[in-house]
Amino acid sequence: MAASCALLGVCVAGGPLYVSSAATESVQLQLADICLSDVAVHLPYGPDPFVVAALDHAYATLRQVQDPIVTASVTATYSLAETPKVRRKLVLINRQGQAEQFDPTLPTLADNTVLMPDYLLTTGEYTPGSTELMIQEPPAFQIGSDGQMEPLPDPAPVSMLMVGTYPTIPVRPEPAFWCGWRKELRPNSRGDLPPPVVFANVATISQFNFASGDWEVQPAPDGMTRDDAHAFQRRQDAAVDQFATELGVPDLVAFRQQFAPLSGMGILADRADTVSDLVGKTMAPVRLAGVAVSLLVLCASGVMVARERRRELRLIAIRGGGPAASMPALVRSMALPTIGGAIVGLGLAVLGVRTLGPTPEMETGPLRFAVLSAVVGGLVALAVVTAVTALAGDREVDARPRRIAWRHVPFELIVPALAVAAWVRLDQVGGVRLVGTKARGGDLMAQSFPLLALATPVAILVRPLRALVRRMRHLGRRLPDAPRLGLRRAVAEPLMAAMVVLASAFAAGCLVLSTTLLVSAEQQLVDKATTFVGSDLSVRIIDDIEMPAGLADRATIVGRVTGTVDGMPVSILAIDPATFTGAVHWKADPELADLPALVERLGASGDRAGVIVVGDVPESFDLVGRTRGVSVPVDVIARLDHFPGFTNGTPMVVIDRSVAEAGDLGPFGTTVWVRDPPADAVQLLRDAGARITNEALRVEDVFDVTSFRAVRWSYSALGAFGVFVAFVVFMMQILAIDARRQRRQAAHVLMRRMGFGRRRLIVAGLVEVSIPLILGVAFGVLMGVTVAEASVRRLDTLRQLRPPSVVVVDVGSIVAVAIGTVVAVALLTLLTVVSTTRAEPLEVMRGTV
Amino acid sequence: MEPSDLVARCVGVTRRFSTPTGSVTALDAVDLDVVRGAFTVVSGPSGSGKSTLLGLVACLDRPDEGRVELNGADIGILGRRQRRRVRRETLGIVLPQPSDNLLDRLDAAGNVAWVSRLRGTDAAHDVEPVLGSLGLSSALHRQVRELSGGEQQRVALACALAGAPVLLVCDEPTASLDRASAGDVIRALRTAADAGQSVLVATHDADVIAAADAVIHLDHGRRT
Repeated sequence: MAASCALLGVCVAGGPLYVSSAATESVQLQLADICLSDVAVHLPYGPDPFVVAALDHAYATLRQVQDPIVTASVTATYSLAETPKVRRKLVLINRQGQAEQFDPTLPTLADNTVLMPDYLLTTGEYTPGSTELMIQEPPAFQIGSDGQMEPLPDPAPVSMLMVGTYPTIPVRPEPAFWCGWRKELRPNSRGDLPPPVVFANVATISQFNFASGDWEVQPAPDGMTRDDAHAFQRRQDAAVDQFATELGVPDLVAFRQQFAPLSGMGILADRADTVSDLVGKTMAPVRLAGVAVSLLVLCASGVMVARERRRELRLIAIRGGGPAASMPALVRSMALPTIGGAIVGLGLAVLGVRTLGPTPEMETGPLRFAVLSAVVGGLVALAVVTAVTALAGDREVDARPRRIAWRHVPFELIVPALAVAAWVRLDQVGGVRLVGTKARGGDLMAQSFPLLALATPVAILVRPLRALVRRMRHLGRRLPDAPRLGLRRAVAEPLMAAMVVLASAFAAGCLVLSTTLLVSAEQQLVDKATTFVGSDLSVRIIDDIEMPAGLADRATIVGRVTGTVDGMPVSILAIDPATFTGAVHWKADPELADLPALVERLGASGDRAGVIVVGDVPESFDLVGRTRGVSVPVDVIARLDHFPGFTNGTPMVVIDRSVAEAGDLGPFGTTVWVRDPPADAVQLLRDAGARITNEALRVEDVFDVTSFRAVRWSYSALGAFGVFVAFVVFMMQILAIDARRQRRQAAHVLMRRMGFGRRRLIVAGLVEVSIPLILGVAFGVLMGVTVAEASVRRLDTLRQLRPPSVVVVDVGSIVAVAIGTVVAVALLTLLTVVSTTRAEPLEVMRGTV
Repeated sequence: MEPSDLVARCVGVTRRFSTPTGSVTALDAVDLDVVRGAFTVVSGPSGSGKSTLLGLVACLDRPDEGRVELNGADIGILGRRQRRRVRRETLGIVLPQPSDNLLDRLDAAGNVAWVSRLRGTDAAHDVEPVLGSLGLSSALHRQVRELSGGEQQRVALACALAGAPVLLVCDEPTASLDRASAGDVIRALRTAADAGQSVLVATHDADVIAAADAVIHLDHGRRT
């Protein structure tokens, strides 16, 4: 009883905790992945005491934050003494704690002295200790008497001495300390270096009129939950408001717009909400099924309690007491095991989520809800068990003969009917997916398809299997006595045997299905990302380069341009056949199996060029470059479902680059694709002279990291449900063994005298236990794979992207299921043998055990 | 005999049970009249249908065919709730095994009081007189497991008599008792009948049969 209530407790409390844990882990992942400056609280800083006091008050409003970082900066121009007429831009900066970011620590700067980035030394124009910079602000403006803006006189240049250099700050990625200043540090879209960031002390910067101060408070990410992220956002808004009010900012709305949106914590928390929504939606059928199974187990427990207390309940019924008469005593005796069991279930749920869930951090709200759910679950369990027990007891006497043969009504057909409805629904709305920051698709019915599909054969086969088992009572006539006994005991109770086979199948099916869905989803994301990117790494460059030696065998240069076919837009991908196949993934892709041969056939044969196409275009057509309007006649040599670099629904035409350039289809946007790139691949390209226009695109960065994690967390719940069902099956077997104990003991006392020793008893037990379990598990594995085949494409979270998803069976999970089955068989056999032999023969014969 | 003289009546009752090997007819068109205030015995060998017949009269089962009347009303057509009420308010039932008649967690007085409360009668009024009339004044607060088989069965009888039911239905009340204890129970039944209580007993105990006012014999589900 307590165990079944614990199961219910785990189900009702585990769900919200798990979903909350997924949301919190999403926050943690995002915080680990983003720049903390982007989610920090930013307010203007000034040295005036009332500003400092207002900032202190704002800081006091915040929770779970790090110490403030004050940054003073100004953008100005400078000239060198040797070239007074050449003015260049620079950014003077003092970020609190910047000196400690370098090893060795940078020296303390005197007034009007600066440190410049060491990459400038390569120009030969700068000499630390002697180079003097004449720094000048841009002119300020004032409103003139005519109401027009008029410039003030140029401010006087300030002379500053370059006293040294600091190591160049790396970019893409920048160190965490500098990530908020990436705009000032990164090359522009044409690959040109930005104005140098020059270090000076605060006093040096403050002498400029346009100097600005930024007060930044970053969140402390350790242990931050989704609730904390939301709270951070709220407190940030409150801090900004308080600061503005304290300083008497006239336009509060404008001030908020300027400073409150700087924090991305709200977006981050919203995204975590979406992840929890996605996980919650995917888990909903599992949670529902878990609660349903728990209630079924509870009802079964109620029937067992009724059987155990049959004498008392029957007496109450005979005396004319209804179920209500037996309830008070039942409630008294069952309150402790049910409520206690539910609380134990809550404990197990907390422990399980903390140890096996996405993150051990717990949110207060869901934890409170889980406690409430467990208590309510315990009370419901108490009510259910008491009611079932009392009703079952009441049926002990005066059971009205059944006028309607309910057992002939095929209730089990409800399950396949629901499965069909779920199938249709899933086809309509697709699996649950992240669209931007919203979870779309995949309602409860659609998401229930895998579970219902698994449950369908189980439901349909109960009656036929029971009938079949009933006919197998005389099976094994020619077998030796021990296996024959085991075999006949296995089929002695047809309903029980059928239930064990099918429940084991369901449990194994859930486990295999969950891992297959998980592995397939992972593969699907990698495949789609690789197709989207083209290879593992894609780098846009300005001009063609000579491929560096370190990348020569794994990189290619492709050109992209938009074109038209019969007026319809197409994406033209111009490739270099000599290097293309070495730079893309194709060997494991059946669709691209003939890629080397296909690519070789690209190029001009006669007056028409061969092209590979993805999408709907004619067999032969004139390919027109959109920019110059020049056309090249081409023939389609292959039509594929997808191709590296295919990114959207627009048809893609793959052409030999030399042919495309000869036909003047360009100008092309040039991209380098690299397969299995070394860590320094981008640097190698830079060293080879590549001007990189934007960030390198990597397969692992294409999709939001939390998107796949959310899918993983969702499918893991299905696996956990499989374990849960397996546990229920195991408990069911133990209860069945216990129920048969007395008869077994009595039979064994007699059989032992006839030479049926322990060894034969073990063989009999092994045969009895293993046959239904092994048959069930084998069937379940088959079901799991079959249902996965039917589900994977429909649950595809990125249907719009090619290639379509494929089913990848996780052999490891099948091996794990097999090992689990062997262990369960061994334990149950042991239990069968021990429970049969551990009895005093005399007591057994008297029936007093 | 006037119908009002009969407390219970069975007319052509038939009861069949389904078994894996087919249908078994436990009672085959049996008639039974239980006269008000009489000690009526249904006797017969094991498997003759005595307990089945008593189960029908005691509202514990329904016939497949025929009518069972209590106080002139057909109880076969009543719903479960009404039949439960009949059992509670009209019948006192005693089962063969003494311990099956009592709640272990209560003492002797507690068991009688529980039945009284169930019947909506005054428990305090019932307990001592009923137990006293059965010679159990000294066993009032003894736990059920501390009582002998004969004492347990007399407490069971006290429970059945609590609240003065219309009919006392006893199935093999002496089957698991020694001769002396059985004698106590028979005397108690006789005393109840002499006090105007209608009693219907199923037994093959010759001593019980000897104490009866009327005996009906069953064999293979038929009245002989």
